[in-house]
Amino acid sequence: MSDLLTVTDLSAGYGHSTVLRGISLLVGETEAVGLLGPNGHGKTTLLRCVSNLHRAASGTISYAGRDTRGDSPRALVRRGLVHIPQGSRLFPHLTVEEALRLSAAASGHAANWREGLEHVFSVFPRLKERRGQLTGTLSGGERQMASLGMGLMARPTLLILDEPTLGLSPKVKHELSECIMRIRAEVASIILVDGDMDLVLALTDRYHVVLHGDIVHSGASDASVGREEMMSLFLGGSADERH
Amino acid sequence: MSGISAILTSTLVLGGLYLLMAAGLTLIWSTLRVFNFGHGALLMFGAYLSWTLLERAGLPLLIALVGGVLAMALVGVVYELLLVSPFIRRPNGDMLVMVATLAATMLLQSGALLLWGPEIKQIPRLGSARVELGGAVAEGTQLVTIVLAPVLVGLLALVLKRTGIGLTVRALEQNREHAQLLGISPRRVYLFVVIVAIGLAAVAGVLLGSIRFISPGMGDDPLLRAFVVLAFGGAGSLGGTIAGAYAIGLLEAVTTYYFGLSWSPVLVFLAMIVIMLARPEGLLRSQVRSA
Amino acid sequence: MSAMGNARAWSGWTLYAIVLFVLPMVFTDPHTRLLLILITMYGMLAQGWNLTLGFAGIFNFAQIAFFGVGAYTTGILATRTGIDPWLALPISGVSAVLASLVAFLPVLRLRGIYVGLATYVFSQLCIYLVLGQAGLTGGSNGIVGIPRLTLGETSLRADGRVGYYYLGAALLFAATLLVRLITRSTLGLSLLAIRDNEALATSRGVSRVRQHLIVFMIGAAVAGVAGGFNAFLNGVVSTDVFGFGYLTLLLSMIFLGGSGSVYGPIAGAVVVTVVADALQDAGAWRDIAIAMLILVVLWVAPKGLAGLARSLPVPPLRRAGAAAPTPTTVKEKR
Repeated sequence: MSDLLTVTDLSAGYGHSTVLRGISLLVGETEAVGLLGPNGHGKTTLLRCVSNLHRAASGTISYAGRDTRGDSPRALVRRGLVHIPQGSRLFPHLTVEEALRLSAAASGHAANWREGLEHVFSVFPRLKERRGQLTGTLSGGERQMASLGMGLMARPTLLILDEPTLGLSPKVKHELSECIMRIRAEVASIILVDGDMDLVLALTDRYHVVLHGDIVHSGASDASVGREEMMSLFLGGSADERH
Repeated sequence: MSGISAILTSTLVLGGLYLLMAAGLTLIWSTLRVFNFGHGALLMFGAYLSWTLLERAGLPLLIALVGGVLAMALVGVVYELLLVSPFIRRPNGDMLVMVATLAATMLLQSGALLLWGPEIKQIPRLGSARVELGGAVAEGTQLVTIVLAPVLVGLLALVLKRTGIGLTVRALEQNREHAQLLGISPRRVYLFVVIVAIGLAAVAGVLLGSIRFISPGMGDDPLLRAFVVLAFGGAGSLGGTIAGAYAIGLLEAVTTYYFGLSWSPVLVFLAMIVIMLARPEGLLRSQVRSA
Repeated sequence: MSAMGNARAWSGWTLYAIVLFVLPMVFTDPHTRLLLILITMYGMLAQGWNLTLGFAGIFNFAQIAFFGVGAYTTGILATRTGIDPWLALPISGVSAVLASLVAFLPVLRLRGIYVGLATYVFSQLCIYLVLGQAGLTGGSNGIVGIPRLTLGETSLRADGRVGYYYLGAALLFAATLLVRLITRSTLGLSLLAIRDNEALATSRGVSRVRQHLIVFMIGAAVAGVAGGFNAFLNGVVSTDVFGFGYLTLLLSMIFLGGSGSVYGPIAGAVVVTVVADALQDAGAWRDIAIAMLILVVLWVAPKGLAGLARSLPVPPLRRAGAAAPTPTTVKEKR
């Protein structure tokens, strides 16, 4: 299996505070990788660096065999690297359909946006009911669906999901995770960050635990991962657990 | 009766001029989150360019005026490249852009003085149409202003509402970071917005240069009134800007009629400060949002 | 502060005082003397403005209005009342502070660029008020015939205006000391905290409105006194004092010198005053040169001369800080 995304020795931060400390990550074609770990340890910063929303201080990122340094977020979207940000309030005064059409147009799929729309509506039937509604008036779960739908409109090769189920009720979470399951079957690769460990393990092939800006533990998601072992990692994070 | 009709005409003329100015400023503000202090100087430059095409190059009136506005759109490209994009992403960028556009005002005004000299110029009356309605008379450029300003800004509203680029502009206004993640390039949108805004200012310059005179400082007053409009209508909402422009036009017409030219601006500015204190988000903001 | 640092600071201030004292003895021709006087006046104006614009990060564009209010206060007092001219200077400072209270009203409720709009409009309002009150202010003719300041029997104009120079130099020295003390005080630190992270600062009990009001008033007082000084120096006051010319001149000084630096604006005042004087006869080219100066500084050295000076010596500690990554995206402003 060849690598779709290669992150090598990446360091990044904001101002004088360093968040990522030489982190490395591989995502293969047709692979789903989960990132676990407490908030504030660099998961979101890593994703922002991958989509070039944030500039890394050092290290390299290569996507589909090409160094992404200097590429705009727009160029990456057009090459299929699609990042769905955490807790986006979307575009409050655009309707669901406008937002979906926008995503198709911005990623260079304006010509056949209606096919994309049908596909998104088949994955998220709820969005079809809400197509004329302003995204600012959607419920939390619907907003996440719209956000994912916008990602699908861009025809992703690698889909980056940052906390898609944050703040959702268990019922909505379950509904959404089934949708993600379906997306995962259709889209080649996924990076999934979520606070719900069970959900991440259920939806991915491999997982990494990110602590203090680096990966301290990795494993296969299907293997029996001890929940308590993981919690102690989150809390203690000793370096000798590194594989 | 004649007083009321005089007030009505000047409300529509002044409101139209302020609308052309304020619509551009609003558009720039809502997408770029900066204020363009050079907008008045750009209005002035547009008027001079059109005058030159008309009087020096001898082009027909309509072609000269449209040419002047198009030339200003090119100036807009340079303006964006030199004054906005170098600063906008820096920390403290909004203040840097503000200072840079102030410097640009100085540059454009001194440049106009060098190029066209101190003697004032005028663009001839646009058309000889005359409309009389209930005692109110509007003719020539006044009539053109009354009609053209709302039509152009209405067209802009339509473009924002219905077209792809309009959708992009609105998306960037509402959520810059997510818009970028969808593949929207802020730079292209900024360029579009600055060109449109400067084009509208140039139209205002042509109209004002025909109603009054052309001089290097001709844009200062309209710029200040446009600020008041933004305070009134809430910067960032086109609907509020339209209402605000005509409200300020009305306020100015009424105060000029009853208190005279020297007190009118004082009263208008005081109204702005009171509004800003009472409703920092703009007087009309909530109504517009719910509409 | 360590004893050594203290000693260095003292020797720095002593050197500054000596330089200010000796300068008119080195430059004796009337024209250079006048330039020196203007530098002292612009220096204190720029420093006073930098308190709000640079350190506090308030978009205060009313500073020119405070200068103008000070100038008109002195002009009116000196020509229409029998008041001791020397008293006019502090009273001008007070009247500018009163004006700043009005100009501050919008700052109560507004943020960022809106403050810039409101304060800019405030200074325009001052022009209209001055023109409207022609009986008091002379309208567009301005106030002429302001008596010169004298010290005993000696006019400050005597000996190539050396008296005005020393008055200006004393005021500049006092302004620099004031700014320095403020930036090192808890007030100064809280201003930086509010500027850089308002939410955090207010959660720690810092009152934005109070701290901003204090610094607004101090800056206005400096500008008002400078305005009074300007009125005495020129003998006339016109609405030019509220004008675009002063505004851009001072902005160029602050940004050339380095906004947010204590001494930068003085360096800016020296450079811009000399450049503006050299181009005195160039007409519109002078303004073009000054505007270009502002833009070039903003493009190539956004931290101004002070930033360049700081980056020249390379202490190893600073180096590490400078290499730290900076965020590339603009924060969402709401």
